[in-house]
Amino acid sequence: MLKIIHCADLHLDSGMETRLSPDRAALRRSELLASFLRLVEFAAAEKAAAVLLCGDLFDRERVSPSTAAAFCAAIRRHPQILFFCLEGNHDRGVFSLPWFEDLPDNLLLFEEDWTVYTLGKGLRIFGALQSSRFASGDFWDLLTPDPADMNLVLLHGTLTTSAHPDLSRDEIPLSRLQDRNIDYLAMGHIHAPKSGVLDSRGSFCYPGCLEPRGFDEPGPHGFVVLLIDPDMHSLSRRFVPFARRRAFRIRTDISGCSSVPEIIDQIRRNLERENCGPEDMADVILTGSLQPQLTGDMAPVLSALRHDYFLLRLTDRSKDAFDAGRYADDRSLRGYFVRSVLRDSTIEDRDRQAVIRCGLLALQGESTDLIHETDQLYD
Amino acid sequence: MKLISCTIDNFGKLHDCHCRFDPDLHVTAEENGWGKTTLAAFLLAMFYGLDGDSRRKDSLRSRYRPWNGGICGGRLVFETGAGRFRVERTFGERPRQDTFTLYDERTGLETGRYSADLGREIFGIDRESFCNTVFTSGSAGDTAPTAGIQARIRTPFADTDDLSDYEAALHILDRQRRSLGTGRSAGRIRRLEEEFSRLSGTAARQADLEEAYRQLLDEIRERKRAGAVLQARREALTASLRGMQTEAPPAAASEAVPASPSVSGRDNPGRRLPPALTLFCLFLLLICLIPVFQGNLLFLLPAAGAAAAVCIAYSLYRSQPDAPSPVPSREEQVRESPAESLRQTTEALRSVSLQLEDMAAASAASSLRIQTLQQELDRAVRARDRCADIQKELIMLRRQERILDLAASHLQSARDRFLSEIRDPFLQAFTHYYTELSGEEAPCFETDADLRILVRAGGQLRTTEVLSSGNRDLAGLAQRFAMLDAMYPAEKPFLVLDDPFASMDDDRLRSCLQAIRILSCRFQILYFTCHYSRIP
Repeated sequence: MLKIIHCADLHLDSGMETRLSPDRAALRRSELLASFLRLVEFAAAEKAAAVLLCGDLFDRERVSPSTAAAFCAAIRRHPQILFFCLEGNHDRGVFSLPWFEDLPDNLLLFEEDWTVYTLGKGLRIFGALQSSRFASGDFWDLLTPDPADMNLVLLHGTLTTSAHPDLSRDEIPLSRLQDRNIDYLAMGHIHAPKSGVLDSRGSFCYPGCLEPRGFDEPGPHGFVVLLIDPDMHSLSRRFVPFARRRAFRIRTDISGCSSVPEIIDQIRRNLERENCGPEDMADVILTGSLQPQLTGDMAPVLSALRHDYFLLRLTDRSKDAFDAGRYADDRSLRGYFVRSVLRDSTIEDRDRQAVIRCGLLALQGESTDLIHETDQLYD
Repeated sequence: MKLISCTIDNFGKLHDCHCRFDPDLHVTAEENGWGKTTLAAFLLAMFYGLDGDSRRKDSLRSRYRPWNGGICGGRLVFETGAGRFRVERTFGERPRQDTFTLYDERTGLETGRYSADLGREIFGIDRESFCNTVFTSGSAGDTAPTAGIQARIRTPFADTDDLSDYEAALHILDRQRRSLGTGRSAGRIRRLEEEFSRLSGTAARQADLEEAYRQLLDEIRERKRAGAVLQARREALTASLRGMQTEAPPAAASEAVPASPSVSGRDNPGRRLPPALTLFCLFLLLICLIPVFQGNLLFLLPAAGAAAAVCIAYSLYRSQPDAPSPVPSREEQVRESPAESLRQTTEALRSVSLQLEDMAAASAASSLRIQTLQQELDRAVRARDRCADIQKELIMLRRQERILDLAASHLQSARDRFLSEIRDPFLQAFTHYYTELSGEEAPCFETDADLRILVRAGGQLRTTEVLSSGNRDLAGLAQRFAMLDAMYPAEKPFLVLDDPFASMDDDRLRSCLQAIRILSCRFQILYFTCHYSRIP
């Protein structure tokens, strides 16, 4: 019985500075690398025979020498494990860098042509780098696994049922891989775990990325452990959640909140319900109606919550709960002001509410540095 | 509301003074020094308390300290829509020593219907506005519509002092606008624009840097491939060289094989066989000839045969064609290859090694260059990301600026419209009262947004200062009546007029007194005068 780890899309050395401060981005980058090192130790502890790295191991073809050295050292430390490494669309050509001059012997790479490795008796591992040849039927015809063997195929891209895959979008035609005696199609490219039936013999699987890099990658993250018995021709798999941090995207309706503390409590309750903890990252989307007495400035809300989580972002999509009808007969200056704004056809609709809110708050003596914006981001 | 009666215990010169007020026109005609102004001040104090500290000589509290040294204070009975009440106040040296009690006249019990802020609660205006409208001591001309009056001059549906908040609101909007300010160097928009301009150059380099990076990576790849080929060649040459050095024959071995100067066929090892055959045949002949020489003629025939064989063998040997160009002997071959092959192999190895050294140097240079390019690219990407963030923020800030401008502009429009919808009725009322009081057609009056009365004189709008003192007093009075109309459309307050017509001529005085009588149907008027000629 052989144990094989299947992972992909580590994106080591990812920039991550779009929404993180430089310090946080550096911390997160080191955590990505640490997760990979933990994975290697896990493979060693489980006495895995091999690790399949199905693409985008690095975030881009630029990798720092220190990351490259750490990567190679981790692999070299366990010569008993074979690391089958397929380059993806982001890290194509990365091993040409000078810091990969001396690759570990147990790191096995793939080319644009089909490369085959034999792992033990009756287990073969195929792989090919994505190229324009994927559009050619001849290329797929060169893939001829022996039905008597257990055959694993490594690819990086998006499986599509379309007969004309769009190579610019890294599509791979599923039909070309069916009925080719493939027992397991080890994929990479999609960052959420996903699996399915390939044909009557085999299955495909995306393990997802090892760590979420942003709020657009919520859900579980980790790798897949395969148990393979070539003699019995059996294969089973299980997903292992492994991420250091989790990402959450949570919607919070603030319609019933009449004060900033109430909004804070509402958000906290929703985060607790999802089990979001201090080590996690949360993107809270505020929805519903913003009560008229509130200024719309959510900076105090963020300030109250941000230190309770590794990373917290607020996206304000609440709408002004403004009832123009209330001012129809109001003979005060407020009424005149509201009617004046409503009558002005040169004001865009999305600005109209903001103008009214701004003026009414100013008449209340409220001074804020912010106009209530929908889709306002606080981080 | 109406004043019913008052009792002054001690207030200035007035002591133990009781007064019952006529519900329409209450006239107090007393000589100078009686205390009419003091009475008016007492009424003001009953509603608004006494300002100031008696230690200050210019304060009202000091001015109206009881002459007899008694406790300053008194009682006032009044009626509003809420009922009839009696307010009792005393005034100490300082405001915190003052007392206030309110009684419901119907039950005689104390009530909390109104607080010590009685005047504001009943009239809805502050002391200053009260003085400028319902209460006058002295000339009726010094009337200015305070913000409180303006705020009060609205329809009954409004319940907040909007106009009072208006100036503050504009100030808030202006302050926010300035903090964003495109034109100001400290403004956020300007700072972001400058940062964008600084970073955009770096960000723009990204494409070129990426291209350079890719090209360098391709070069490195190519060099790697070529290096692998050269490395394999070097290894092959090294092995070949090693092989050549171990195969080279020793000097003794070469001597064992004599050198053959010619390359003819004779030395052709292929010719050795015929001479041996000839010798054998000769040997046979000799064996056969010996018995013959011994007389045994029986061996004659074999001897002849052997002789024939010798001839045949010899002729065969002589008849063979010439041997081809002789293959150099093994010794010759070994003596020629070492020098040339070794030289060639060594030369080739040296050349390959040099090429590999050059490649290593180029790789080291590429390694440094690629590291630099990576850093520059990272900088360019960071700059690009920051520029994108700045652009988003600028869009948001410019929108905020636009919203603030719109809010301020619409507030101003609202205020103007708001005032114009009360201004015109106010002007109309003023003109009506002026006409009533003066008995003649009013000159061309207008009012500004602050409800100040202006008169058109000499082709320009001017304040009422340009009017004669009599007409100015009339305008002030008309303004008060107009303001009262606008401020109190339903329940009218009382009006205190302290000898307002002292400066009028006879004709004007007649009209004014006539008007007062008429107006007392609408307002309770407390009219004070010191001259009988000015009694309505």
